[in-house]
Amino acid sequence: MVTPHITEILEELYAHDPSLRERESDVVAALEALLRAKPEVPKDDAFFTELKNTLLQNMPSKTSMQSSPSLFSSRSFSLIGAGAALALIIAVPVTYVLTSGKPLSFSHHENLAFTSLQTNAFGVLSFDAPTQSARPTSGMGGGGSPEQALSADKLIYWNPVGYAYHYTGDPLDLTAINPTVYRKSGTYTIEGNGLTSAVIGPVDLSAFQSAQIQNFSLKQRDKNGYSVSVSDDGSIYINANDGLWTTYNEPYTPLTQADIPSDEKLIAIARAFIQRYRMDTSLYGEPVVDRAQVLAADEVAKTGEIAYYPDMMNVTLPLMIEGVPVKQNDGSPYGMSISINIRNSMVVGASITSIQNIDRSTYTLETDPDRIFDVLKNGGPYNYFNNAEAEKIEDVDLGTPEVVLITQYQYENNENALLFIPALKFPIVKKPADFPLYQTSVVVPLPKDILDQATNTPPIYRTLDDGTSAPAEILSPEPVLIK
Amino acid sequence: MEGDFAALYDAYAREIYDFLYFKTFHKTIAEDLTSTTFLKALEAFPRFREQKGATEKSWLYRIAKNTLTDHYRTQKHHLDSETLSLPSHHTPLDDETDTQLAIQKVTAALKKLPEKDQELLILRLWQDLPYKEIALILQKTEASVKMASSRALKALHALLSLLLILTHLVLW
Repeated sequence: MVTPHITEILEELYAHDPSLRERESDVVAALEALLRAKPEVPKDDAFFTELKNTLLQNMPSKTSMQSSPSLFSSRSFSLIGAGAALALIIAVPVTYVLTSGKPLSFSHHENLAFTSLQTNAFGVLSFDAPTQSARPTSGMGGGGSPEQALSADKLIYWNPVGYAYHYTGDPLDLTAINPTVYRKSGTYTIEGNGLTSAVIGPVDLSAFQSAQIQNFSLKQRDKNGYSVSVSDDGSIYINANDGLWTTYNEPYTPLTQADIPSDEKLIAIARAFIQRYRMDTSLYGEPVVDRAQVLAADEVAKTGEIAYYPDMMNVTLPLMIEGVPVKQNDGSPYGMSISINIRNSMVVGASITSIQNIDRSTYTLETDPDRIFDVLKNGGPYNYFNNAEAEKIEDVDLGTPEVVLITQYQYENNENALLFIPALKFPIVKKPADFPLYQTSVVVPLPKDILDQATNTPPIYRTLDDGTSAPAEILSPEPVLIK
Repeated sequence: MEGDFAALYDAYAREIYDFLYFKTFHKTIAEDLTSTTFLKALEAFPRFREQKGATEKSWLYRIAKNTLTDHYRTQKHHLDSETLSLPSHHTPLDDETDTQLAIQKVTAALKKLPEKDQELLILRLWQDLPYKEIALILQKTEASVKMASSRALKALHALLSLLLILTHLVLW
């Protein structure tokens, strides 16, 4: 039957293409079939309401809200009490109280908030020596007292090739370096007016008095989306759902050097992700690509062995504190880190520590360049390589350093405080031609406390796995041999 | 701006969702794509200025189409007509299977058309948009949209005829 709707469409088409009249019956049949095949669209009013609320919460101007967000309006929860909003409170030093009806927020600001404390306010700074679990060129560190520095974690591996580091940069003037040590302060307290008194299945959470939310996670429904985990220490981890991980066809095909993208491409992918998910980068510097594993693979490839290039690479925007970039003690940047799957150019994760409040205290820094050079010649205090009994010593040249802050954990009162320590990062400007060296820089911390411990802590040898013993003689006094 | 965007959302959210549902035949995917579309629109809203060739509606549709393209790229396949939802008419139980089959055949034929022809027919026949608006969405002239529409209908009919011959299916 030719309905008015079909007639209207036909007239529109005939006006433009009169030849269609000759095939009217065919066209009408097609129109009728298509109109009858129009599916009923399943709609969920709650979805539209929830989406609108979410969009309005994310308006550029957050001061006026058209509707109160309900983060737990999902049907799987039963909420007791008026309102279902979570309130996030920064306990120290400034308190932000978000009452019911306002959205969850870490109250992120464009600028850090500093609290100046007395000199040496964080106590004696400890030497954060490299640990066994780190990469050979890096030292993640766990902090600790000088006594703890003699533990089995502090290992220096016997190496048939030793490296002698030579400074070839500009004359060093250490007198003008800012002697401030920083400490991340304050914790986030997530209070849920709704959640901590919610009934989840057979369990009434309100029975657990004075309970606090320590962490929570969200997961997008799209298999190509992400899950986000948030902790009350300000750490945020983003992980891709299954769809964004490339599946491998058997057998596994390793990547080659040619598969590794340029820095520009990786940075563009990271920036697109940051922009898409509206991350605030005002506290961070320019992005840096971590090529340590690629460089290591390149070195292996030079020897003719099979080199395994990484499937994932990180782009990190370093945290900036008073204009100084923050690094780890292997020289790699610390801050907002985006992980990219090389095989499909997709972001598969991100790691961010939300930092808002910083304590600062002045410490005495080393100002004698000769002292620094003395530490440098064996590769700095975070180096693994030991020259004792090396069959061959190779020369490595270091260039003019930049002043950085390095992360270090200070253990006190059963908690690890995160410190940011002034240091010098010396770039390696010339490597040995024939021996692999994965390092790209050498870092030397500047507080006298730390340098004194670093140079006075004896290194430890261990017995190698093949049963041969490591050299007994070492450069430093009082060697300790572990079997 | 908040009020303007809220009004935009109220006016077009369901329509955009319908379009994305007609393209994917999947409620959850259509919801996710609708969310992404409006999040992108929210981000770009301050820069949008209605001008010749771009109304708010056509602008939203274009964002939805781009979002859909990104989705297809990551999915590497399109959902086939086997995931179709309920038939558009309430039919007696005995007739439901035949009707469902007929709908599936029509939808399968539709999906064999080029993407742009599918979109054209969906926008005109299922979403009942006038050709003038379709032209803005597809960034073409009204005349070329109508011409393309007539070609698409002829092609659809040819496909349906072939299916009828092959399956001896009597439509309604």
